[in-house]
Amino acid sequence: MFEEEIRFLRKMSKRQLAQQFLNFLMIVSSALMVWKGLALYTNSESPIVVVLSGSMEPAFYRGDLLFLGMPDEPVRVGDICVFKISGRDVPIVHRVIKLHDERKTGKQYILTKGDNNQVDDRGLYNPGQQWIHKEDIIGKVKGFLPYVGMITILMNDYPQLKYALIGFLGLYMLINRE
Amino acid sequence: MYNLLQRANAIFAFSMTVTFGVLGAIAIVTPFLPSFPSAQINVKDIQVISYDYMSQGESEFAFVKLQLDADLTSLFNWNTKQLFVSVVAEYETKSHDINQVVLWDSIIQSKEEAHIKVSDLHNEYNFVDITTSFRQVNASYSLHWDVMPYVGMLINGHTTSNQFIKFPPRVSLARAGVIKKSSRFTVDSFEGQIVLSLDGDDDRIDDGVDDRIDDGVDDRVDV
Repeated sequence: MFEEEIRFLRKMSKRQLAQQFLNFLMIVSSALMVWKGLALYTNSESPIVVVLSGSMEPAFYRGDLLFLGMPDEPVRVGDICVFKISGRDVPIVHRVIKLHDERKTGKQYILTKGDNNQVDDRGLYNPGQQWIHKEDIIGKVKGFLPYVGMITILMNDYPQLKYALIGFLGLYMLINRE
Repeated sequence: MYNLLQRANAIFAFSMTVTFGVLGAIAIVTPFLPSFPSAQINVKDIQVISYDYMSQGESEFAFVKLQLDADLTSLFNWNTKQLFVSVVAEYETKSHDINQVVLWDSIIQSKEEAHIKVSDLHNEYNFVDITTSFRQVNASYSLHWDVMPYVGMLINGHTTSNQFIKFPPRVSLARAGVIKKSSRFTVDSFEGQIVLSLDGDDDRIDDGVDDRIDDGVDDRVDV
């Protein structure tokens, strides 16, 4: 099946190989530009996230894709926010159930809770921490696409799948004559 | 275009394009579908009691009883997966100009359930301020809803209320008829079920004895 491609590879000069590699880099960097451009437009460091846990069921299930935005206006109760607890990497998607805005400083004291959890998130926050603030929030959920994020979860759970996919894509890019 | 792999690739690419085109169209059309939700909240009773609360110390807790009548059926269209409704209390204090507290929430998954009629809605979550005292604020109560689609943008709305009800002065637990004057209570910090436990006594132990009140009645307060 690949005899044509292998013959073609053998015939390629160094220059053609370099050109193929450059093509590959162009594709990767345009993908990166689109991603970063989206991050700039939505004002959020990570504009598309995948739901990892079932704590917001039945609204969001594991594997759903969420589109975030981070408008300048302050957080309000009922907003579904994606936030990170300081010192931890894992983003959490929960709803704001309490809000207290300090008059003098404008600082927001926010308490969150997952729809499917019985208790609020104080058990998740750092010990002694009772509130989160606007700085901890990466974005507010604006849009939603079901199931599509399952690929990311599968790739995390089965890393062989990730390597296989990357290897296959790399090979395809190199032997592709276009 | 004569190779199986090439044909499969073409079909796959085209179907992906069509699928995302359709989903995008659905997402764009949904916000324009008409809806006319309505809700009415009446305050029936408010009580303010002080308990020891986490690191804050003695803090005021409000116990509110409301009547809720809402018709949110028009928010249900073919792209609505569920509705998330919550009753929110809003008030202003000297130190904090915006305070919003969710008192009760519910997930509505079908059009029939969207006629909400609760005549004695108690607050599910602790209604406590970030400072230790409400100082008899005026609070307004409104219904917030969040429409969650199968695909697309999350849309939310809420009723506005210009009815501000003033909190009554705080009463002691004894006056509220809850306990004997000499007892001290702490409140579990979890928002969810309000559980009172006596200092030193664990009434959660099911030994048939109500460690709290000496009146023969087991009244684990479940407000």
